[in-house]
Amino acid sequence: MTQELVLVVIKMIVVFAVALLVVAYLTYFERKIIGHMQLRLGPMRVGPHGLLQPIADGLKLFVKEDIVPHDSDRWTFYFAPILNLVCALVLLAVIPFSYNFMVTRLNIGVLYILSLASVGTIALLLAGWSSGSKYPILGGLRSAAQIFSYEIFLGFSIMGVLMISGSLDLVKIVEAQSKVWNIVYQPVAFVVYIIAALGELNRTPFDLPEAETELVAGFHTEYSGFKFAYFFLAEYANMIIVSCMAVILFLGGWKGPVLPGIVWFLIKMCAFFYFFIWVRATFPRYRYDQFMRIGWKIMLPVTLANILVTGIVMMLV
Amino acid sequence: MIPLSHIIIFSLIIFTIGMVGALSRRNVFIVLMSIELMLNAVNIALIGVSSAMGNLIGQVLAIFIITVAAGEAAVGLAIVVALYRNRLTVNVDAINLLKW
Amino acid sequence: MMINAWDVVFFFLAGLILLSALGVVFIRHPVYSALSLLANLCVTAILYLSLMGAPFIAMVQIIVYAGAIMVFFLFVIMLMNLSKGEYQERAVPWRLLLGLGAAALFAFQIFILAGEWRGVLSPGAGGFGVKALSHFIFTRYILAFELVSVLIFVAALGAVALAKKKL
Repeated sequence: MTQELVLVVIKMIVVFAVALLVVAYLTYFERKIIGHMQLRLGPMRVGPHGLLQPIADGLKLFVKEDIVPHDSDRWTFYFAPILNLVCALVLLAVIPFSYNFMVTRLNIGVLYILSLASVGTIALLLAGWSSGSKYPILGGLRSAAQIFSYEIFLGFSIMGVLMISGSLDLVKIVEAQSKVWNIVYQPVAFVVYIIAALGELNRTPFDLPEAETELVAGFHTEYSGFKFAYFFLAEYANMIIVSCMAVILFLGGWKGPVLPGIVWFLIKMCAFFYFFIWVRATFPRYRYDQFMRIGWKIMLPVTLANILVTGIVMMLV
Repeated sequence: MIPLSHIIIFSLIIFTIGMVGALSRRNVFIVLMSIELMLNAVNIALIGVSSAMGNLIGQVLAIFIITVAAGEAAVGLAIVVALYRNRLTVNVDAINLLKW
Repeated sequence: MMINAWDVVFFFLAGLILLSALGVVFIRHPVYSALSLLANLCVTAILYLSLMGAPFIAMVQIIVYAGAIMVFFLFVIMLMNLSKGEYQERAVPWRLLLGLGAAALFAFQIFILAGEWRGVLSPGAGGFGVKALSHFIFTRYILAFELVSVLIFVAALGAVALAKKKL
């Protein structure tokens, strides 16, 4: 009993510490990769090839003055970034990185992830409202509406995979893909999942809540210092979660020849990060009405049709 | 081992609190939220009974209640938005056109 | 009498739910009230998950209530963004009467409902899986399920029709 408990605690510490470190270095890789894509060098000054840049950034944010605007709603202003980061990090607890490396195994893992991801929306709304000025509140309302509508397609696109594997347990979903990855059966759902994930993450073609030409920086305009770092960490932690989910649901999780499972998992996950960064360097931002029209008039019918076709095929086969 | 009567009494307490809120507050939002609280209290009782009796009917009913609560919130808030547009208030006392 | 660990869990969760329910009703500012309701719903979900063996309901509770309904509420409250003065409420005139009425109602409910429940919750026995529940919904209660889906569809249409300036 105690041995089990100690093991769980160790796993928790390892997962969260590694995740926070990975998150910090993700920002570095994002800047570096985008730099090279735009024929720049990216960060070069701190350490060899700028490798210590994330640490310097973290230190800078840590020692910065913590500004609380006069019109803000103090408690909510402090509470929102904490809620956002907690909702993002807690999701890591159920991700199976390999067959036996995960903090805990839930038989309703998919629902757990969907539910806590939806609570994260509230943090953005609160952050926007509590700042007490106009750009944050517009950004907060936008991001809530955006995440809210794209969550629906995210859920629907996952539905086909759940129908095929017949379980909500992430481990069983991966086990069901030992012969063929789900992406072969569900290519449409995969595409919809990626688009919905970009919308959910507020990443570039859909980064309307942070559209700097219209809204300064969206809901975190008034945030500075470590509270801003919380939002930043939460955003990248959400990127990790979305990539992990894509790997688990569509790309066969830790399955792969020769190399051990966890290495395969990380390779696939990194490919996803790279894809997200690549998308950011490639596409311009959508207009808000275009964005909503794509969601409700194209993605929703497509996902519903996908579920219908999956059901019919499963009944016939 | 928790006796079922604890759960029932607990849910009744929550239900009463929600009812007091729905009757005494004058802010439309809080009235609506108190109604959600009452629905939630009913859910607690239903799921408690379902779990203690070992059948699933209570859980099925709870799912339906959650669905109805979502519909209620959507329509209620739409009414609030329309109301605010016409009367510029969210105070229930000020909405008395049908009273004479 | 021995104190059971599950009893402690129950009273702790029940205390949290009670406090946050009181918060919903008695806090003046609607945003804080909504946050209190959010806490209430999340702790209720934990109650379902830990003591009542209903993991599916717990997750649906968080997805629908916390993720959708509370976002609705906060969205509309923040959209209006009323100033502090507009939240002032007239104090309820017959507060004592209201309290007495609530107490009477509660006593009446207890009188009707309590005493007849013999069941016992035994947490840790493992609840029902999602499969059993969905089998139940999609066989025996299929008609009710379809009717509820029609209801929610009509509610969505009604909400759009009400909130839109002109159709």
